[in-house]
Amino acid sequence: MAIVQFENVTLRKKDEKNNEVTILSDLSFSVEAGTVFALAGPSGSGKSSALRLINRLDDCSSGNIYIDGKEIRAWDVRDLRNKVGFMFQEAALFEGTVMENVLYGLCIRGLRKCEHEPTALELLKQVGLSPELLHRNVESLSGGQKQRVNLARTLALNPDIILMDEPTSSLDPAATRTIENLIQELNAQGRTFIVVSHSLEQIERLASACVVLDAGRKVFAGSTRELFAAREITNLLTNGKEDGDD
Amino acid sequence: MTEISTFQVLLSLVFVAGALYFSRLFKVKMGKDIVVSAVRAFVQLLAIGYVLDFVFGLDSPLWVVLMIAIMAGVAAYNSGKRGAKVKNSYLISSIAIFFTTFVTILVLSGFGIIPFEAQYIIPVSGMVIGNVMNGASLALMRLDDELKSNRVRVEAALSLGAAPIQAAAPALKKAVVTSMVPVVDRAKVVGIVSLPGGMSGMILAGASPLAAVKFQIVIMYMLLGSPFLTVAIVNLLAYRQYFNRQRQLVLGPGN
Repeated sequence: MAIVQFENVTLRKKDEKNNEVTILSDLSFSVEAGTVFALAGPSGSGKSSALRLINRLDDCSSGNIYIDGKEIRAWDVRDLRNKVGFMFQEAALFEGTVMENVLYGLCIRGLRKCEHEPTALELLKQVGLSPELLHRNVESLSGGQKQRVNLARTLALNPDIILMDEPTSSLDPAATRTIENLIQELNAQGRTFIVVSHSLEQIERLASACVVLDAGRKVFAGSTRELFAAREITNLLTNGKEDGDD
Repeated sequence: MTEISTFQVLLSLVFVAGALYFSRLFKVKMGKDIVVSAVRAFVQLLAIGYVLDFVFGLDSPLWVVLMIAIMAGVAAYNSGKRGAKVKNSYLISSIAIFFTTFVTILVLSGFGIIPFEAQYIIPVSGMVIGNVMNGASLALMRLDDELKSNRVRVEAALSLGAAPIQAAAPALKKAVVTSMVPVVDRAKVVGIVSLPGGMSGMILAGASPLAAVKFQIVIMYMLLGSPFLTVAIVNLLAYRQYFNRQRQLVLGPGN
């Protein structure tokens, strides 16, 4: 069953000169529940913009997005963000300790006390971080540790769907493997992951299906196996690989 | 206080001449600016002198209120222009400056510290308005900077279920601190590094230094407190301009 479905989604935004630009054009695809799905494409293709729509950080200009069969605008935005977690490209951690960060979502919703150590320790355990880090300031952590705190913070609200925007782009290969292993473990527990990536190797290691975007348009949708059979698409991902936001 | 004759006022142009001389000597090409500032100061002060003389003579509360409203309006316009990156900045600065001025004057005259008479109310209002205008401008500019430079953190908080005020809280805190630092610093060094204009004026006018100091303490506390009220109002109204009902951060074109 499709847990996320895009139906003819178009996104337009105004640029610095107030001209309207099309970011996503007539995009349709669906993500099956319990899978790891990749949103791929070269820099500037619109993959991060598509991801933002699923958490309703932006609204599409036309078309429909369904989450669990219900149109996204029909969801109460708080319930939606409870169901759909978002892990940003940069660690985007808040100033303070590891505990303050991992309990943030629960604390602001009044679901747990902001200093509820047992919950924080359980979350650290889930992402394989040492309990000794609990009271450490996040500034002193390594890049890989920060991303694991970031993941723990997202997991705290127990979302069914986790969106990840290039979660390993700034990590070394060892830290990348750790995050990828965590994604696979959590996926085995039934969580759906939608991962933005421009790395073919990562898509192969993680995803069962993917959609590839180029300049806001869908150029491929299918299984990862089918993706590797489509030479022109893999070339696009290999040659169009650049650093930068989209 | 000794009355200064018009001739003596003209004699004080010797300072302007000195500034012009040094400007030429060091070839810094500030001559035109110096002349323009001297002329503007003369014309503006003369004009306000006549206006105040006229308003004091009328002895009408309506004219006093009108005078304060004009001063607050000009300050709100300036502040709104400085913070124009914030949507509705003119309205926000107007509400904050008018409200703060009203409350401050109400407290001062309510406690009987200053009588509700034009010659007290207008200069004190001028001090309040000039002071809170800077606070409002800084608060608007800093909040815009903070929200834009911390966009990822703000959106991370929203995606974790934070309400806009929770997501904007760190930016609001930094905007308050940055806006208030000059005010707090000034209060710390008053009497040591600087003698405030109001107190100096009273001493020059013949008041005893202790009477002038008492009055200045009241003024300093007022100048310390009133910008906090303005900055709080500005922040609480301004952060809302960056979020919509869907709890999305809206930064405008190009963002």
